[in-house]
Amino acid sequence: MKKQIMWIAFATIAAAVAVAGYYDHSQTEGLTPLQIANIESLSASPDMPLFDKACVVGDKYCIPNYMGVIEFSEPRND
Amino acid sequence: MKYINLKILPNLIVLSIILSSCHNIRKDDRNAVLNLTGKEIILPDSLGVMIQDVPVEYDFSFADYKVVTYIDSKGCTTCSMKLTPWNDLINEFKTIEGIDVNFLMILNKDADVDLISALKLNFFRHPVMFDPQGRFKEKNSLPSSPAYHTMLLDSDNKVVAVGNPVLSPKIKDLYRQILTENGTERSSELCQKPVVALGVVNAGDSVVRQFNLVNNGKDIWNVQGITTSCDCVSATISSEMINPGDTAVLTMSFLADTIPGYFSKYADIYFQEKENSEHLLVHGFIVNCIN
Repeated sequence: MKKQIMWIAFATIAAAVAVAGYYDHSQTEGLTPLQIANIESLSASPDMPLFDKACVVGDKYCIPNYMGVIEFSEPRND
Repeated sequence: MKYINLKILPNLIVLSIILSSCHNIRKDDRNAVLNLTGKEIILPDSLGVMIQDVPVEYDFSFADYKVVTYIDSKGCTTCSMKLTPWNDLINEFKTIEGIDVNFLMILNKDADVDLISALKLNFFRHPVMFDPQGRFKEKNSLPSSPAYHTMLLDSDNKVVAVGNPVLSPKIKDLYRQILTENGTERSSELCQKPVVALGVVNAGDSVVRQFNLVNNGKDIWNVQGITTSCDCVSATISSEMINPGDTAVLTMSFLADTIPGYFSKYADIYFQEKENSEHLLVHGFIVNCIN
């Protein structure tokens, strides 16, 4: 009985690996290496941040025209 | 079979998870890349290009590669513009020798006071196109997600890669790999910001910029010579020898000629102790007189 369970589990895992491998292959089939690299880099990137909040003066979390550190003087080249 | 026991099952499960997650691909990413790669991107003819609030003549197509980013009007436009990271990235790509890389930001907005002041506050001196009607998106049938609104184009304006390099280091690396396939990346050892975007320069005007060359090493650097890209550029250095820990200032002057449009000029400074020169570059746009 124990042997049987073990065999079933093993076969299930092997099938899962095979299906995953096939699915993975079908996802990239026909694509150029550059396209695959592009898709992988997109998929590895964080989701696009939602800049869906309108900037209102006085709102502590949204400074009008804020885009990161604002340089108030001419950038130096050192 | 008797040698296999249930103890190996967890290992097999872990192995199967690892194997199945080797390529974690999102369907939307795959579709966007498939739909956009190789597609020719068309710029609306009727829209002009500006550097901050000054219209400029800009032949966007005339370059080996172009980075184009479209920012829609939803939500906080100035937040999604990411001007400071774009500034750094554009100047970084300009250091790649042997290829020209053009840049264009298209805003789905009118050129209002807030946007112009945001560009000025951030010293953003790169081409921007104002497209309040959203013609660019419509003309090129872009996907709805802003994640696919930034693209790297080739010399024929065909999409080579998709994704926003200022929001993802993975995309930035991919863009850099593509660009350095045909060009050479020049990193500066002595100057932290070897590229300066001058923005708009009046025809006939002379512009002067200084570059600090800091010797952080243990050896003395002796200047061997300075070469410039044209007679319109002159460069002088404050000291012929830079001791460890010292800083020398290179002053570069650029005399703008009378032909309006984009320019990119450089000075190379050679040291006796170094094989490669320090490559210092200024770029911008010449216009026929602004006030």
